[in-house]
Amino acid sequence: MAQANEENVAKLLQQGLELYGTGEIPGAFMLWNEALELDPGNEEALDYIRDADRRSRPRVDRGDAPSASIVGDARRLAQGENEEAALELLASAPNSGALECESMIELLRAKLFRKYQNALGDLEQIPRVKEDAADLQGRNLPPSAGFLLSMVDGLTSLSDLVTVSGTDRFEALRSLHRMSEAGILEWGT
Amino acid sequence: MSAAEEMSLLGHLDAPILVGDPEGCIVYANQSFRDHFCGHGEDPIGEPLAMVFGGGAREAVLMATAEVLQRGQAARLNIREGGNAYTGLCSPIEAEDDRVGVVMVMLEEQSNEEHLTGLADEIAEPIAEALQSMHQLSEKLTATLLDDQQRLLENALRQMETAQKWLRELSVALRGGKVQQGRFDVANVVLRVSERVAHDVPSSVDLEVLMPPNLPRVSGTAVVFERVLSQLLRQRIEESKTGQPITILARAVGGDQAKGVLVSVVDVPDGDRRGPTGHPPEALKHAVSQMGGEVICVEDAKLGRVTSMRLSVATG
Repeated sequence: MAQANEENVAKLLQQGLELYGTGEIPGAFMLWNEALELDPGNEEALDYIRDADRRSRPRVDRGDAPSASIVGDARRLAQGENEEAALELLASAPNSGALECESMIELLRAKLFRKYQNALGDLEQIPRVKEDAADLQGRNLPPSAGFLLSMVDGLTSLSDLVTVSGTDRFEALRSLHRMSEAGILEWGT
Repeated sequence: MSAAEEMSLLGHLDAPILVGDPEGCIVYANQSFRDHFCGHGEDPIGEPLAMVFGGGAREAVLMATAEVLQRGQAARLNIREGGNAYTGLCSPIEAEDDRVGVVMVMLEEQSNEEHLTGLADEIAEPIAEALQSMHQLSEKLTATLLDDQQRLLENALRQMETAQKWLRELSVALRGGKVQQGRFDVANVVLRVSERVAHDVPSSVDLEVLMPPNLPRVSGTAVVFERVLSQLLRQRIEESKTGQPITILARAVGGDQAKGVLVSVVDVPDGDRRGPTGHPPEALKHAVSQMGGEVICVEDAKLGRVTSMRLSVATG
C-alpha cells in the first residue's frame, strides 16, 4: 500500500476514534468505513467497527429486542449516502438478530448491490491485478477477497468470478468493488 | 465432513446420498443426507447403515442393503423419516479390491396431503376477503336496503361464514387433527417462484435474486410458502415504481449455527399504486406464523421497502 494511502487510513482510524469518544457513533462508523474503502480488510478498522457498539451500549436483556437507536443511526448514515457504514453498523450490533435490524440490512444490501453493479459496469470485463504481490501482502485482505483475487488471471471475466466465488452475488460483487476502489484491480475488455 | 468431501459434487445435490462399505458401514454421507437424517452435529461415518434410520425405516434399509450385498443387484425401498416419505434406490458399488459396497440415493416424495392443505388455504383466502367485503357492504347499505334485500344479504353472509367454518374443519382433518409441520428447501422455493414470476411479468421488470449457494432447510410446508411468496412478489411488482428493480434476498441468520432463514423482497413502491398501509397480505402473515416464523415490513424514504419473513431452521 502506498505510504500516502497508509497515512490516510491511519488518519481516518484516529479521527473515527475521536468521534467515537465524543459519542458520535454514526460519524465514527462512517470514517472507519472510509478507511476500509481505502484498505479493504484493514483489521484495525474491522475491530473498531465490531467492538464499538458492544463496548458502548448496555447489554440488552431481551436478545431479540429491536434496537430503534441502531436502526435510526443506520437510517441517518444511509441518508448521507453512506450505506456501507450503515450496513457495518447494523451487522456488528449486539442485537443484530432482531428482525427489524435484519430487514434493514436487506434493504441496504439490495441498494448496495445496485451501486456495485453500476460502479463495476459490464460484468463481462476482464479484471487484472494492478499491484505487485508485495503490496498485496500488506493489504490484509479478508479470505473471501483473497480467494477471488487468486482467480484473477487476466482471462476470467467478472461474471465468471462471481459465479465461482462460492458466496452469494452480493458478497462477491462487494469484494470486487472494494478491490477496485482500493486500486487493487483494473479492468480490460 | 472433510474438505475433500465438501468439494465433492455429491455434496451439492439436494437428494440425500449415502455410501456404505462391504461390511455395511457408512463411508460417505452428503450434506443433504446429514440434514435430513442425522441429528445436529452427529457424524454418521463408520456407523452401520441401518443405525441412522429409525423404526420401520431401519428394517427396510437392512433388507435392501442385504439384497444388494448378497446378490449384487439394485433394490428399491420406501421409508418415512421425520414426517417425510422417501423412495430410495440401493445399488451395488464396486470397491478397488473387487468387494461390493452399497450406494443409496433417496428422493423425497411430495405428499398429497401438502397439496390438498395448500389448496384449502388457497380457497380460504378469497372467501375471507369476500366475507370482509360483504360485511363492509352490509354496514354501508343497512339503512337503505329494503327488507327482502336485507334478508338476501344476511343469508349470503351466513352461507359464507358456514363455508369458512367447513373449510377450517377440512384443513384440520387434512392435517390429521393437528397442525403438521414438515421441512423444506427454501432456496428451491425462492428460485422456483422467481423464475415463474419473472416469466409472467413484463420484461421491463428488473428482478434480482441474491442468495448463497447453500441454505439450511426450514420448518414449514413448501407449497404454502411458495404460494404466499408468489402472492407477495406479484403484489410488490404491481405496486412498484416503473423502472425500479425488485430484489429477492435470502440468507441464514442467527450466527455460526444458523437458527433461521430470512427471505426478503425489496421494492420501491409507487405512491399512487401502493396499498394504503404497505403491509404484506394477511394470508402471508398467517401462513408464516403457522410455520413458526415472523413477518415484518420496513420502509425507508431513501432505500425503499422491505418485507422480510424469518423461518426457523428445521431441527432433528
